[in-house]
Amino acid sequence: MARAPLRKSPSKAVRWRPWVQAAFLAVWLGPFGLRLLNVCGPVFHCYACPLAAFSCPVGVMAQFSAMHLFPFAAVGTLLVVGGLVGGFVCGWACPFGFFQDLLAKIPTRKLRLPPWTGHFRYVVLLATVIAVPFFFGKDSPLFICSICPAGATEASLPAMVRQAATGGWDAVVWPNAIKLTLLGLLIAAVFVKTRPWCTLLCPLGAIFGACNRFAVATMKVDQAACTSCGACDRMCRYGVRPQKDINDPLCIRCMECTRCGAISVGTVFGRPSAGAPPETAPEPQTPPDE
Amino acid sequence: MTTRGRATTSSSKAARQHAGWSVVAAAVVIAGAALLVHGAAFRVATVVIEREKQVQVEAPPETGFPPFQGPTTRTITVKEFVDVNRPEPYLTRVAALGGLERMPSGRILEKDVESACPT
Repeated sequence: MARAPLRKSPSKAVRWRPWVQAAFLAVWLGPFGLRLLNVCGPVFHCYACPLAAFSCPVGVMAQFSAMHLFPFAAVGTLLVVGGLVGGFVCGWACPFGFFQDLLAKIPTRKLRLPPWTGHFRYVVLLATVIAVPFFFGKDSPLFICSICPAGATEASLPAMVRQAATGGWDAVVWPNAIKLTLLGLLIAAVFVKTRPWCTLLCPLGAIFGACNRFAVATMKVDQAACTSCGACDRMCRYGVRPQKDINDPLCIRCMECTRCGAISVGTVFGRPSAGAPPETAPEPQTPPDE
Repeated sequence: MTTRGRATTSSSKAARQHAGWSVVAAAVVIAGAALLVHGAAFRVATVVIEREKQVQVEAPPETGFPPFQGPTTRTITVKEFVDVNRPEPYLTRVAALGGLERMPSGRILEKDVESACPT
């Protein structure tokens, strides 16, 4: 059995990831006038305008739930994007994920939480996006748009800066206390947990993570080349065990694990990975004697 | 069963699972596209006339939307949508696209006031 090579440096695609994230940030937040105000982008791109023609899909779903309507266009967008690329959206296109990645550049020791904590994202999705708006309306303090730290980062804080710049501190309209508190806690959590919002709370990540299993763009482990050395498990910062389940809903497709030559990106329509996973970890191969 | 036999069985099982996920992926994308088209068609069928209009809105405190928090009154530019099935401008129908419903409980005070959207 040929052992898969382990690269010391990330692949070319992984090195490009911050630049791709920055490019998407330019699209979602619109410093160059590219802001997509009339389409439902599949990420948190809040601009907090109550009269916006469209908003982030989570905001749209919550608003529609409050009106007891079905958000055809938003759900359709999520299904199309999730069915095509799944969690790649989280790792490569989400501006709030990029924000957390940038904060995580500050070197601190990160905790590893058990994978089951990722299921809490579904609780957030069902509670604050669907149930609370449906039963209590938009005025509930737990309505997702009222507490969303992504909205606070992308819309509230810039608005406060703009208000302070144009009218002084007296003109600043402060976000509600729950939203500011959650944002503060989240920023603090970034220093002890990699992408805490994405791995613990994000309702959008819950949807795209669930799509990882069947999305057209997928990741594969060549079981014939895998030696179960566990290197991919140690490389993953999100609690995924690629060798066991490369399409885990927690995976944001950062592709760090592709440093192992046995792991690659492919499509669900391509050939399945060769062979079955080994039941026990084989002994590491030693180089032949000279 | 021999080791080779087990490997062949596992391999064929993996292939079947792989084919199953391919079908699921195609079905999800097609269903999503159908919903998307339905949503877009709803907009085309509902909103037939649109033109820029400036209105003044009053937002209640603690709505969760930064520009509209606090007892404040803003003047914003919106698009007026007219439904062919109704004689008067029908703003709330646009809510079906995630638009005006985001004005949680603000109300239009007066129309045709000059200013621009705060965001």
